[in-house]
Amino acid sequence: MTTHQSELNEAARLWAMRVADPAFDDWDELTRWLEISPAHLAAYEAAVESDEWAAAMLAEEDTAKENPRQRRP
Amino acid sequence: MEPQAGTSGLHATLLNERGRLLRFLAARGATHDAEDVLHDLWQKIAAGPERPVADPVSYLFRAAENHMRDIRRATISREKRQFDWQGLGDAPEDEPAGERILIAREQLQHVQAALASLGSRVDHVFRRYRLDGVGQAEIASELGMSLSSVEKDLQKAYRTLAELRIKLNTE
Repeated sequence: MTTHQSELNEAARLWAMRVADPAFDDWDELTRWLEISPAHLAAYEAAVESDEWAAAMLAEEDTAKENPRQRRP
Repeated sequence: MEPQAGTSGLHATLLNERGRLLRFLAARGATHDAEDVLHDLWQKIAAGPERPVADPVSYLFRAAENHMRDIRRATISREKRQFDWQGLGDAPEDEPAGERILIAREQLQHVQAALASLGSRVDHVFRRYRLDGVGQAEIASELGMSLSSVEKDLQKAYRTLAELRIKLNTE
């Protein structure tokens, strides 16, 4: 993976992470970032999928009987 | 049917913000279909339950983001069905349910271990953010941390989980 690609992935992850905040309000800036190149949208979608994958996994935690939630309340 | 106050307020906002929303949708993957997508999105909102909206502009952009995610998910599963139908895929839906549960459980254990390896604070911050839906500013005040420390913790978790997902998918 080129440095450029990994930097792009990092930037895309940062956007996916910021958008996950219920208070996120920087949609115009996200629009401008996405408009720079189609590669930005592809990287952003991959970052969103990864984020949703991890969140969906953890949401299943309580139903995974063999592995009860070990975190203290 | 007479539109209710909340919905007509949202529609007024949609008309005001139409240009910004269309530009966002186009950049977000709707490209030349942004107008149709915005139309569909509005139909979806108008058909939904009436609820109070504190910030209509944010609400509409959020709905637009979620709508693009729904479209992408539908496209991916349609392509996958086509792929499996042609006998090209592994057709995991034909796998025994028990096996799928085992795979999911194993992946969950990897996610838990990856988060735990980053330390209990990063683990906690990520769960508050992504599982409980608490914003960064609130997490910062809950834990007496600076906003930038919260962001750095989240970045660590996001990077680690993205790397884990790639690793699990290529194994």
